[in-house]
Amino acid sequence: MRNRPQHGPSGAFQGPRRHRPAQGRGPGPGRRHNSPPEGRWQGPPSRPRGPQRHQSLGARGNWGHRPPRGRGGHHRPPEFDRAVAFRKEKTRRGKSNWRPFVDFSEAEDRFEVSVELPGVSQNDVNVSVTESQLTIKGKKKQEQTDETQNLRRSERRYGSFHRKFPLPPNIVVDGIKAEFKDGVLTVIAPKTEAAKPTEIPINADA
Amino acid sequence: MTYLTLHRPVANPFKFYNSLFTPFFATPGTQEYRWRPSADISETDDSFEVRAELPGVTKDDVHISVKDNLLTIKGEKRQEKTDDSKDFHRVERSYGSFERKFTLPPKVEVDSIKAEFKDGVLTLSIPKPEEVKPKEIPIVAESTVDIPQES
Repeated sequence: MRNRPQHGPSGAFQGPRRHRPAQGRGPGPGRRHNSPPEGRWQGPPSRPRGPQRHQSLGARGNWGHRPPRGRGGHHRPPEFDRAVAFRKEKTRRGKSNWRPFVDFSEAEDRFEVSVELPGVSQNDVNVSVTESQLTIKGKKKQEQTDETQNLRRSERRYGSFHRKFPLPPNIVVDGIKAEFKDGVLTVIAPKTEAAKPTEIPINADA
Repeated sequence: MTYLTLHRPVANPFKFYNSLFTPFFATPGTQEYRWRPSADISETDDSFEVRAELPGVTKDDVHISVKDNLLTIKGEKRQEKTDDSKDFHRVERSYGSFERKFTLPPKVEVDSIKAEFKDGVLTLSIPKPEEVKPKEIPIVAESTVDIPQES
């Protein structure tokens, strides 16, 4: 109602005036704060905005977090969201249209990341490590970019890719090795000695 | 012109019911695969090429066969064996057996199909038969052509 266009520049007659909005605030006592002025029914009063909007959920409702969007959604605890954040890692949208599949496993003495990169040559992959993050990026090129070649069916994805993984603190950064075989890139990060399990011998009572 | 196409068998009329009552109408010989390698089919003047992505599959685990104009790529992707047990934090790759079928154009010489496996990509080159290949028709200069004159 604020930026309503004026009826004509020079006040020319443009038809009968109907539903002209009332000027000023004219709600009677007991009306909702943003309810429309009296006159036409404009639907049910909207949900209250501001801090009082969660009041209907009760003191304990929703564990003190903002309610889920949509209706009927179950609330997710923040621990779950943190776990999902790993899955929703950010890829630069628009720059890459595919993500290679990755397995991340842990053995007693090492962490292992294996990435499926079929058709990517070794020179086109770049593995870099910081203290807390492993980044694998590169580009998959089409084998043939010939004018005479006609693609009849195209299921494979090409272009650049980019994946990041948080690394646990207990690894030896200098000992990380990468290997590329049969279209699978395997990165092995050894654990520090302190992180490896140590066996404790049980003394028999003599 | 017939292209190298994907093999699409006649839809199984019991498929929907199979998903409801698996033991009752189970059709023998059908197997659901957990993953399907993606493949590109390209065509050049003298051959078709199929490139299938098979990362982590060894050469010995892939079998290619042709029967009744039906080219089948079959195999199994095995998980890398390690001596010690591993806990998986994240599994996106899929393992297990796979199968893909392609219908070949007619009159293809089966013996001339070549397969190559490199960097996890299987490349099949299927040469076209001679009669399908495009033939250049030379243009003869006008003066040398004898145009029959109407009399």
